[in-house]
Amino acid sequence: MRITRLHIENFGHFNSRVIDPVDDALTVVHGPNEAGKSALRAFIRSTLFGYLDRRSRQYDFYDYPPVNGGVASGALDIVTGSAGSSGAGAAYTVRREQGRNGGSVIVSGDANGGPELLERLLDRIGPDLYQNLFSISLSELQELSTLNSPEIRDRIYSVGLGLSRVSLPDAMMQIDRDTRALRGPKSGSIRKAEKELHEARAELEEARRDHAIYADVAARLAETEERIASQQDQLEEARTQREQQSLTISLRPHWERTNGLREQLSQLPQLADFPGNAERQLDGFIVQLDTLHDQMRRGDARQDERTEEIEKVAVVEAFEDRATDIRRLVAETEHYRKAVEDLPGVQTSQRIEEDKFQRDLELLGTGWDEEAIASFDAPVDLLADLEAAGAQLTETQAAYQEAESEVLRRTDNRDAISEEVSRASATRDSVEGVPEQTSDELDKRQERLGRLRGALAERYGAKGELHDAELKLASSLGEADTTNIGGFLGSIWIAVTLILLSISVIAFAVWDKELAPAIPGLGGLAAGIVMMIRARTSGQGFAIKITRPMIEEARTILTQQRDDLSARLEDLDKEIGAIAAEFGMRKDPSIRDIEEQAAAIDRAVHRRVLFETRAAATTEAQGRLVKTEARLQEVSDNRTLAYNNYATTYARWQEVLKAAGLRDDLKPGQANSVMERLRSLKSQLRILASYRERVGQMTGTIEDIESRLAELLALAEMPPAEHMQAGPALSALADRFRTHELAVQRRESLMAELKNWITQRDLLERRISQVEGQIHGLTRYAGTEDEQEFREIARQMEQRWAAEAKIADLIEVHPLLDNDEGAEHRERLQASSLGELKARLGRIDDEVREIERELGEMQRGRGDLERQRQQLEASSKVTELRARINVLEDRLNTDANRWAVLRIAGHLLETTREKFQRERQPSLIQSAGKYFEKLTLGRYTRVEAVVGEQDLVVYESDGTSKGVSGLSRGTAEQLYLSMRFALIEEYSRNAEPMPVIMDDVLVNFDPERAQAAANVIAELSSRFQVLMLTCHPQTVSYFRNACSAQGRRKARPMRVVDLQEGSSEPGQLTLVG
Amino acid sequence: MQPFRFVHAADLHIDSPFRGLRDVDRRVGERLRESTFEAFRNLVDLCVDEQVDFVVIAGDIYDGADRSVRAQLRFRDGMRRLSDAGVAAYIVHGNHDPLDGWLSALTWPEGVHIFGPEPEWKTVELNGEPIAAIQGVSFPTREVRENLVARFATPTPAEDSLFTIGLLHANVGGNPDHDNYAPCTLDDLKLTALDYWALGHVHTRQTLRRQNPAVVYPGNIQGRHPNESGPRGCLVVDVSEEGAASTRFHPLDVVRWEPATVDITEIGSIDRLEAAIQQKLDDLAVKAEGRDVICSLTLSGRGAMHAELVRQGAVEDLLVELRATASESPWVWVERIYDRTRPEIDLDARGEADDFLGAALRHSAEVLQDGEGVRELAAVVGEVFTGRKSGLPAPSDEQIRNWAAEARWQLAELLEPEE
Repeated sequence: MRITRLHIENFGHFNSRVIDPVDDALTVVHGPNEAGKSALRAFIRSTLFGYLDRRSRQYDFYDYPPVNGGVASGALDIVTGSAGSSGAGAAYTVRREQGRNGGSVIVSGDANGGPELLERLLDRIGPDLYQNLFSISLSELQELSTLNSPEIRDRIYSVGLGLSRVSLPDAMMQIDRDTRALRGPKSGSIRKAEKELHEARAELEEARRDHAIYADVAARLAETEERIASQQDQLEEARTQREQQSLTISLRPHWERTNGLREQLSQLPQLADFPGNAERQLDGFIVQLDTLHDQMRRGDARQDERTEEIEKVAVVEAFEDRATDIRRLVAETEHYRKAVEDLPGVQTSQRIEEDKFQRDLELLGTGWDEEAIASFDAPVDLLADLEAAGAQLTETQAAYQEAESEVLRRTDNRDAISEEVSRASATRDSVEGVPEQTSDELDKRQERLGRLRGALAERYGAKGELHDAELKLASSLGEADTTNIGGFLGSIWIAVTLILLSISVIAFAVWDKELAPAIPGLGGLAAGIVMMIRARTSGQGFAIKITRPMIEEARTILTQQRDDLSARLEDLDKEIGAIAAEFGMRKDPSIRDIEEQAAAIDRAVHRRVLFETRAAATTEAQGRLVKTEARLQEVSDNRTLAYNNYATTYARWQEVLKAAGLRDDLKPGQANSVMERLRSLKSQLRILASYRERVGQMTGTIEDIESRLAELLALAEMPPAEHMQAGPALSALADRFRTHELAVQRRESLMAELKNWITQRDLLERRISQVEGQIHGLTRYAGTEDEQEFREIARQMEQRWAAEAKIADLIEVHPLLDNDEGAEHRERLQASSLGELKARLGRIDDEVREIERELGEMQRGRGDLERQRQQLEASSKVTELRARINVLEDRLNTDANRWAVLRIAGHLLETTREKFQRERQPSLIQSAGKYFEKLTLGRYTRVEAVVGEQDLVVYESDGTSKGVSGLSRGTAEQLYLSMRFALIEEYSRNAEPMPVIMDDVLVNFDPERAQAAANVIAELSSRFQVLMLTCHPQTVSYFRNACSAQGRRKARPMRVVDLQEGSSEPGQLTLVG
Repeated sequence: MQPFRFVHAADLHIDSPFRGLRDVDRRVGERLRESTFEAFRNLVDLCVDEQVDFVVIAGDIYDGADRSVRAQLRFRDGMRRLSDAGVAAYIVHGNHDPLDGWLSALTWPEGVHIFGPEPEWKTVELNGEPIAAIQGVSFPTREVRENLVARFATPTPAEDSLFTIGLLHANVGGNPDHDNYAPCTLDDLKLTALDYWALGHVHTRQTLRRQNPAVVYPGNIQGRHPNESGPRGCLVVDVSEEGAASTRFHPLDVVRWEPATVDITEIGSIDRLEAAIQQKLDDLAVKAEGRDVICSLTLSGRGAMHAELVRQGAVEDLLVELRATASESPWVWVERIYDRTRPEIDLDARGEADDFLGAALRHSAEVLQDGEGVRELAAVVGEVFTGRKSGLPAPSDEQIRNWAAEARWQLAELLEPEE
């Protein structure tokens, strides 16, 4: 991904600022402190990954509240695909506004979407990875632990190991965890199973021992059961003895009692047929006789009291025949009271209604009186007609008025549009010099002119290339290759030959004794010696060169190139001539001619477009005018129709008024009002009549009741009542009448009682003589008339019967006292005292208890044995334990096998790690080593990672090693910068990288290493987009140096953006150097 | 000779504990505990229903020398039922219930004949006429390493005129899956001139020889662990007037052990896997003809489901799910799931890769190439597989190689998990 533009809408002190980084190279953003470099970095991070929450630990580093207020916002234009990658990527704009959950983000461009699309574009790079790898400030660089975040650590230690999705320490930890879950030092399922197995085996041994006692238990059980049977027989016998003895003892008191009763019987009289309860019967008769006499006395006394009371009862004889009249009058008391109470109120209401009616009558006008109102009776259909005609008149009048106002409004509108048409046509006609061609035709001419410009530029380029080709050809024709065929030996050989020849000449001259030939000989000798000395001194001898001609094929290629270019030039000349002719220019037009022609066409296009626009506006206004006039005609017609309708309705209204007997100039509202008032007066008249009737009724009621009351009061000799105040007299009469009625009832009741007593008295007398006869009959049974004597004999007979009954009861409850079966008991009772009997029972009891105790023990023993036997017979404990042991063994074996696999896997992982570490270092670390070597100018040559651990070791060129803690701050930063560079390289192999943004990361580097770092970063920018933020002009210089062609094969493009310029224009793209 | 019918059963192992289960629920545990009792009851029912003339039981009636009282009483009750039905029983004891093992003081009903430590002849009569002569011998003690066949007497002419049966608990031909007690060969048996060798000891039904003499193992009557799968029961033997024996297998088991394998290669989701397994289980239920089934399920093959299955707890969840759907009896209960599925990685090809996993796979192969490497791995697991009485037995080289092979897959899955 690359960033092509930053639109900072509102962030920190930036407001509507646009910055264009170079999308495939290095951009250095320079500005002094507080110019906004760090804000820029924060802006990019916030836009791509969201605004941080206040609770975030890093919130302060990325919080740049807008200086101008409002909500922070902005957008990034991005292109997918890394710098230098082939193929154009897709372009998007990512816009984010600060808000909850990182703020709202919208992605638009080749695809539109929200956070999901952005996440996909970021290739799932998280904010941590981005911040620690691609967007580095000094704080991240100085904080070495940032490389230990899980995401980074995985990338460093796993990607290089070929583990693209897992971390080796995590994998080892997982194996260790799984192994410990199976068998830890003191826990784990294996240890648990071993422990349970041990326990189960011990339990099994125990259960097996239990098993072996079964036979013994069975034998003991049989023996116990025999003993129990024998003991139970003994017990049965002893219990029988004890029972008999107890029975004898229990009989003893009854036996003694029976004997005593029999003795008593022998001393009492015995009379046949003597009645039972004789004394009680006698007492009963005497009591009855006393009661009857008492009743007789009390009845007579009461009879006297009644006779006296009858004479005293207060009866009004005069009321005897008028009872019905008095009851009716008393019943009407409430009517009277209500009439007396309501009459004044009703009379007042009647007067008010009378007054109101008279007033309303006067308002209606003359000619109307009570009789006329009563007789006024307009038919219902006439009233309906009046109402309907009134409503219709109102409606048609409103319709007419509306039509009239619509006509006026339309007329105004038509006038306004008419004026607009005039103005538009005047404006259109004011355009001068309108060309005849249309704007499309003019556009085509502009395109042709553009092609002419292109052809001229192509011809210029082709001419340059032709010139170069001809130069190369000419040079090739003149060039020749030379070969040195001389050399040291060749030079010596020539010198020696010359010396030998000269010596020969001199010798010949000496031999010839001619000195003249010796001179050239001496010269040659001297020259030979000089040549030899020079050859020896230079060590190279003399260059002897030969020349060879240029290769024919090369020349042919150059010629072909030249011919092709010539043909191309010829075609371009023809095309230029043709286009120039179209525009009436000379055959070989200059750029100036073309620009003049282009300007003329631009002007013509402008005028033509202006004219066409105004003409269209005029046409549109004329169209609207036609439509408006048609509509005006339409509404005028409507108005005429509405008027006619109104006139018809008015005539009808007047007819209806006449029919109703009303004035014909009344308007619908007025007519309605008259009708309404008449209806109201009729209603009032009805209410008035009702009042008059009620007053009459009430007065009649009062007078009638008072007259009847006066008559009855006179009869009862009571005082008369005043008019309208007869209420108390009515109440007094009612009271007097109630008393009279009660007295009559009482007198009748007493008379009935008098008659009743006479009958009862006869009955009492008969009953007394009956009881006296019964007493006499009873005493005769004892043969005596004496009551006291009779009573004594009766008591003795009672005693006799009681004794006989007791003896019978005793024998019934205890038959042994009398029957044969009890003879033995009776003999024992006769023979032994109670003490002797009890002593014998005590002995038998002891015997029984002893036998029961022994039997109980035996039965308990048998129960235990039985339970034991049943348990053993039903027991599946051994089987269950063996099954449990089987289950545990299986579990142990399964877990142990799994444990063995994990242990071996862990062991293999560990040993492979060691082997891997021994044999090679990951490419990532090697790559980091190379960067580190460059950054430290060769001081350190190698970096190693301890595989699977999180530590680095660096090696100096002499082979000595150091840990990170042994490095200076600057060098440590260089090491971690190297790690990041290597990591970015590694990352880009598998995924699309992000732009690399560095915020003054070189400040702790010495100048040489800072320049070296700038060189490395400049080189990186050929593969990744790099944004370098700095406040140091020197840092800018380092990058200028790094990007210059000096000492390099090719200069790097670089853009410097100065934040202090305050301009939103993009910085100048510069080829430095 | 009168035709007659008898039942040949062996290895009842009444009240035998089940084995090979990692865990059982209450319902299954109770059913398994009762299964040998019920299978024995089925044997008695069969004898009564088929109106056989007698039954021979060739040893291992009880599972262990510490035979439970419950087992003995149930066996005695069964014998009583046979006696009441007029079915005689001829019994020998085997290595699991030798004569010196603990016995309750039981009273055997009429018609039950238990052979002693020396071979002896018993004559079987039908309607007062002898029909067969049975010679049998019980194990006096658990470990009998002697060839007991050598002690069997050759039938006298009187016995030879009857159908002769040898009743023996022995390992014929040295079956490696069973302890080599009372070892003998098929030739030893052929030389005895008996008509039918009613054998016990080998739990899988097999006919070693069809006639002259017939030599037959009926197998045990109830499977007790995953290796004793399939139908288990006894043989009903019909002897014709000519003295020819024909055998017919009759299943007696009440719980059947069955293995099942489901290949995940073509299966794309856990739902479909569960459906495929359920189909297998349904098939087993049908095959078991109304019996309860305990199934050892193996998942095999390579496919997308492997990544799902290796997730922590996935197989356990699947097991719980399968058990939850088990119906009321007759049920099919999955006792465990063996996950033998593999990721779609070619380990050999992956081992050639120039990365860490490749190096680990190559290294693991190198380690196993020599004895030194195997000993090194034995030491790694030595703290559990101690070889001492208190620990687990020391592993064989083969076992270590198997573990190492499994560990290679473990590494592959760990270091290159499937997406």
